[in-house]
Amino acid sequence: MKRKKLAPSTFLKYENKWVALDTQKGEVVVASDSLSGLDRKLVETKRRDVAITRVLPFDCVLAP
Amino acid sequence: MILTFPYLPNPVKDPTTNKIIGAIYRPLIPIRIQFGHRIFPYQINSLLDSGADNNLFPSFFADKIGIGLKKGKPRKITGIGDIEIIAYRHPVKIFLDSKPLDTFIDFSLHQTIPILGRIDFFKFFEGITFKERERVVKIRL
Repeated sequence: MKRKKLAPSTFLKYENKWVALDTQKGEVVVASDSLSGLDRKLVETKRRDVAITRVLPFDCVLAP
Repeated sequence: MILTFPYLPNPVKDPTTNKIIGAIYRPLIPIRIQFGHRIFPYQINSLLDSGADNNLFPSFFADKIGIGLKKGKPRKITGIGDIEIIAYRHPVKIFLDSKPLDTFIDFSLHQTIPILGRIDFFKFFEGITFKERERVVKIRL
């Protein structure tokens, strides 16, 4: 299993959104404000080779 | 066998100027989840959290693989400040690469990012090494 190293610029347009990343190219395929919205868009594109990722707000740090 | 995953970057901005000043790199790894015969059709980049006891996912994923959220055992989850959330524990299969893991996920309506914890995920592996300078995580199967 390989994954490309991604640049932060990949996510600049997607603050606080859910995105689907192409697992080979590391590009954002579709994005949405919600998981259900992302799911609907993915069904339309018929893409399966993606990894769903949450892009967190850029002014927050994470302490889960 | 060792699986290596580069950290995923999240841009960071200065809240006073609103300018992008860098990025935080986090150990998110792609997994798949299955319940019964229903498998979620996409990989899910999930945070490896050595400070978490268990796996904790947004309830959306439970709905999509046919889990009745509130049929699971309810659990109180805490971790930051004095906030508690309720999650429901369900048996699932997690796939890392092609390795299937019979484990549990706590699903919550209040959780926003998928988290993999020690007892329900880390325990399946010989070792999980966070290489902060290289910004990769290595998982020894």
